[in-house]
Order: sequence, then C-alpha cells, then structure tokens
Amino acid sequence: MAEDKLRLGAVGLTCRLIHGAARFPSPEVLAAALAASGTEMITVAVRRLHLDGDQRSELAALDLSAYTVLPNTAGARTAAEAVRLARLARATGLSDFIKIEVVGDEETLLPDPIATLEATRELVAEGFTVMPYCSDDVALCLRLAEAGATAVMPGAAPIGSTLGVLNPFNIRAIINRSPVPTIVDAGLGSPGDAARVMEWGAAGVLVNTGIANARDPAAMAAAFSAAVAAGRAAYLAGLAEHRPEGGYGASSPKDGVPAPLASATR
Amino acid sequence: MAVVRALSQAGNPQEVARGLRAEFEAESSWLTLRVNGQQRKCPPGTSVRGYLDGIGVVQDGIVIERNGEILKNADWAGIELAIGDELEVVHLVGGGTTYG
Repeated sequence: MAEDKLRLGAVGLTCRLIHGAARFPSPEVLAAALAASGTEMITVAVRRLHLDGDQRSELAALDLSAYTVLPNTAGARTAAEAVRLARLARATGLSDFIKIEVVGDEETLLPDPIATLEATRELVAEGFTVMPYCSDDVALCLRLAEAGATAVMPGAAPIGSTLGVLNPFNIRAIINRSPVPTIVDAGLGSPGDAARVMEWGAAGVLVNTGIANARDPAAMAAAFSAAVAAGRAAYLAGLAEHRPEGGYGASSPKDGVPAPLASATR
Repeated sequence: MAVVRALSQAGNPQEVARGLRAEFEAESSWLTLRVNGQQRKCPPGTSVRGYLDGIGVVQDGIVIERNGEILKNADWAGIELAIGDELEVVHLVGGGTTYG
C-alpha cells in the first residue's frame, strides 16, 4: 500500500494526532504523553517571558526539533492581534506554520469566523502555512480554503469542553466538501470521538484537554493515537454502508432458501 | 534607613553622602521603559542585548518586539534603548487552546 501521510505544507505526518501542550500537570507528564502518542506535530503558544523569577518555558525540557511546531495565536481577540502573535511566533525561527485562533465570545471561547478569515488572508499573503481553527461551518471552511488555508480546523465542541462532536452533520459535510484537509480540533473528549471523525474521513485531529486532563495523560495519549490510527484505517478500508432507505431487514441473502413445506402452510 | 545607617556608621559621612547622592542622580537619569507591560528602568546607553543580560535572560528562543517592530537577534547588541520604549519579550510555551 502507498504511504499514507498527511501532507501539510512542506511536511508529511504519519501520525495524524496533533498534540496540544497546555494544562499538563508537569513538563515531565507532557513529555511522557508526547512520547506515548508518537505525535509528530505539537501546538504551542506565544507568551510574555516572566521577567522575574523562573523564566523557563515548560517546553525547555523538550527537543522541539523532533517535532513540527504548530504555534497558535491563542489569546488573540482580533485579526490584528492574531497577525501580531503569528509574526512573533515565526520570529523564533522554529516554524512557518500558524494555527489561527481568534476568540469571538469570551464565555464559550468559540472562534470569531470573520476575524479568522481576515487573519487567514493576511498570513497567507505573508507566506505562513496557515491552519485556522474555526467554527463547524461548511461555507466558512470553503472560504478559508479559498483564502489559501493549508487545512481547516473546525471545532467539534467548545475548546476544553471534551463534549465530543456536537454537530456530526456539519463536521461530516466539511470533511466531504473542503478541498483542503479537515483536521478536527477542540472538544474531542475520548478516543472514540477521535476514531469517529477519522472514520468519516477527517485528515487528522488535534487533542489537548482530553489528554492533559485524563487521570493518566500518557496512557490516554497512547489511546488517542491508537484510535486515530484505527479510524484512519477504517476510513481507508471503506465502511460498510448503512442502508436506511432499504429498510433494516434485508441484509442477508434470501435467494435459494428452501420454501416452507406446503403441508406446513396451513 | 539604609542611608541613615550608612551615614552614621561611616568614618567620613560627608564623603559617603556625596557617593550616595551621585548614585541617586545617576539612577534618576535612568530611562523609563515599559517591558512586558511593566514599568522598568535602565541606564542611558543600554543596548537591547545589555538590557536582557541585565535582567538575566539567557535562554534561546526569545523574540523581542520594540515599539511594535520585531528585532532581529543580530541587531540586539547595536540598538540602544530610548526613553518610553515599549518592549515585548516573548517565547513559546505549552498551549493548544485558549484558556481564560
């Protein structure tokens, strides 16, 4: 079988689980989860250095060169703030990738679709490899792809909620309609959630809280990774189709079955 | 208190007072900056690199934005900080999602 890699910009990922790095109990647990998952891409944020006291980032213990680093613009409330964070991230010299995140609502942290599209246009023009985190809206994803996004990253549910896929119809429609890879981001709570979207044909998933908040994050990272691989394999194998229009009782062969005895019919 | 103690314990209080005054005047000539949103001071003529060394920034992966413009690392040593400069000193941290 041909190599099955997720192509994003200049990289090809064998593991289709993109790993978050926030809210882990410790840098050691984060490192263990990354290793257990086999992930090749991790997402990180741009933040002010603590001027006093411990300046060390929890990433300091990691060999970032072992991964494709996907910086995000978490914390941005406008397109301009997202663009500024993206430029700062690229100036680290670690990555030309950017995951656009622009909060549109403080309560739910759901993304601002308009600012996300504006930031996508600007950052594509500046030569970034742009992967916008966005609402689970088909038309928006088409517009993001048209604007030059390398992949679209619709949220399954609000960030950190672990609610799973709230709108399966929309996520499936995006997977089917988007001309660029669909990576389901945010809200996936269990490996089953991840497997399900991969079975539908998602190109990958991004998981953070579902792993970081598990009782044993490293074991959960491995479970998510296995689920993503299983879902992908199932998608490639071609799922047996549901046949609701044909009723539910006609799935076994009927021809050639000996007829009931005439004497028994009465 | 420290000044009173220094003067009272000194063999030559006048000389010590002059020294303290010179130190104070030097300090008052320091530039006021905003660094990561906080008010900070540094002596005139301090370069960006000198300032970072002064506050103990040693790690790699730091990006400096000065008055909204990202500075190339190679330029840090040659750029002198000016009064009212706004510096952002940032780095990458763990983060997959936006948390309030």
